[in-house]
Amino acid sequence: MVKLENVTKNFDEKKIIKGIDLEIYEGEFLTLLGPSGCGKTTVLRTISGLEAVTTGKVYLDGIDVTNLAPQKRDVNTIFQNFALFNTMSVQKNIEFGLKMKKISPEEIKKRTDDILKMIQMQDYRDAKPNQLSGGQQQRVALARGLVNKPKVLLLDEPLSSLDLKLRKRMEIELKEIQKKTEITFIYVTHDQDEALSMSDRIAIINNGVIEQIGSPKEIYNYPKTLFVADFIGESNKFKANVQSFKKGSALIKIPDLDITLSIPDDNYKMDESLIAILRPEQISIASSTKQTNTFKVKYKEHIYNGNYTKILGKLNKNVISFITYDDIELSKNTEIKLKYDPNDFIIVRSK
Amino acid sequence: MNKTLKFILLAPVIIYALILILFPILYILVLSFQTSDNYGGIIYAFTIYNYIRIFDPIYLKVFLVSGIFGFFVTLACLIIAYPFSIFVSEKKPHIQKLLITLVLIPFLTNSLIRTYGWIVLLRKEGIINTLLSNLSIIDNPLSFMYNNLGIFIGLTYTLLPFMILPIYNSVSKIDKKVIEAAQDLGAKPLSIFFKIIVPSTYSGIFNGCIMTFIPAIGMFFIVDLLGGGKIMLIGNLIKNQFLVSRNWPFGSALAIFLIVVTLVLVKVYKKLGGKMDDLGGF
Repeated sequence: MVKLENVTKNFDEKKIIKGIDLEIYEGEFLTLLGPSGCGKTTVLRTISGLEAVTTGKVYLDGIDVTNLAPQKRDVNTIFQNFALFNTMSVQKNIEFGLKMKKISPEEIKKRTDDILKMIQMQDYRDAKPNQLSGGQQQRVALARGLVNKPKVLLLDEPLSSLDLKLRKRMEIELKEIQKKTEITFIYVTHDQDEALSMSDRIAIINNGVIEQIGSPKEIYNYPKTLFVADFIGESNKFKANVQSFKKGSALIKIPDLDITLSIPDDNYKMDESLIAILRPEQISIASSTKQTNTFKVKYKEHIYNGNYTKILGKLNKNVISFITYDDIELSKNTEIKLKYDPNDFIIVRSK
Repeated sequence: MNKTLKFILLAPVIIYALILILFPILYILVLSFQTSDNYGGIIYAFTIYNYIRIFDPIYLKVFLVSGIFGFFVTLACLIIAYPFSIFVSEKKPHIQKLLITLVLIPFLTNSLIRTYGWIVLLRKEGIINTLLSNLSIIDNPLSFMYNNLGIFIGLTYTLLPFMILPIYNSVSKIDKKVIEAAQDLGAKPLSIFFKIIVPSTYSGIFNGCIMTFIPAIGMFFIVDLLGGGKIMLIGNLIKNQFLVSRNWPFGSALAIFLIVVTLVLVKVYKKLGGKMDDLGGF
């Protein structure tokens, strides 16, 4: 539905996007996830046409729209702070795009009524946006875009100004609306929870390039770079280095855990330094009799989190975090024996 | 901050306002209900004759002419100020500050002196006529002043900043994202201007219009200097009552009438949903 071909964007010599290739399929919910300033919003704006690309091509539904004005692109944007027209009523806001496209009055009325019903705002059609709550404004902003039945809806951190509870509810609503309307959504956020819970695919953007693209599960379970592993979820990192090679696999040693692993060779060099990662939930307390695949940490502190407790312990200079569901009381520097499964290791290059 | 300290800090302003603004207005209000004797003295006897006299056709004609002048001067200021404000608001912040400072700089000079400056420019042997005839564009000098055109030029020039400031203020408050949202929804530049930008600046427009219209009908010295004494606006009428006819009570009644008209306009503005903040703390 949308295709970016080697898109770059400079602002006054500063490279914001450094060559992005991205294909987004019809009806998909794709999230562009990254830290602030990574260029994700700029990517979105090159698709809407509000920002011209420096080089590269943008295709929409197979047609080259690189040089097309935003007015002529069949996409709509939901802005971060909604950008509603405060001088107009809710209904006028929603009708605006249809009127600009010179749709017939009957069709405008029908579509506006339908969408007002969908967002359950029929009673507020004559209200001004600044009389509405944040969640209501959010829904009006969404309706104003959706009512045009665009090929693609672009959402620029639309939930960031709402409080946590409302955000969680809107996440569900957004996903439902997306499924119901079957419109392609491209969603920009810096919030990994939002990305994981709503997306069909996530593209992790860092420093103007895509680090990895894949389903939420792929991204979480098989991060390809240290950045992705760090950005999504929590990581316990262990230094490792390549020891030897053997028929398409590499032997690596993790000194802190005193273990040697055999992993598929990915053009590693001899002695190359790698990072082995275990997620906190992949580490647990071991029984005293277990001997293999264990290590000892010194208890530092715990963070109570309601249904589980996160425990921080020290292994040499590293802080290791893991999760337990048991109620345990420990004094500082007590040794805890922990176990892990060597198959759980995620191996990434250290740079 | 405790109340006493607050009061002490505010005292100079309060005293200033009382002595130089409130008392004179009260004095004028009282005067407007008195009568004048033949020598310009004041006879203290209550009467509303001065207010009835305002509706004499001679004076109504002055109001009508003032209204027409005020309207065209306000319109001219609006037509110049609006595009200028948009132009300024699209510049980088420090350029915006610079341009607005340039608009304000003339305020540092006495407006009477600036009006004399216009005489140098506009008169028959003035700079503009000399330039045009030296360039052989005209044969005979054009009359820019001692006529309605002179008054119009002088008033428009003097009052332009009063129009620019409130309009710039409201134009620069428009969220750029709202404009982008309109583009995104398919609005072309003209629609964006009339459907988004103009409605968002109604308060600025109304504010600028009041701030321009009221002084426009009151600035007697510009009318005197550039109009050649042929045209009389409300300001001249009031000035004449005080300085020429020496009928202070009638002059006071006219002044009070002008204040009431202003207050009615502000009231209308409030009724239409305007915010007082936008009137520059009016």
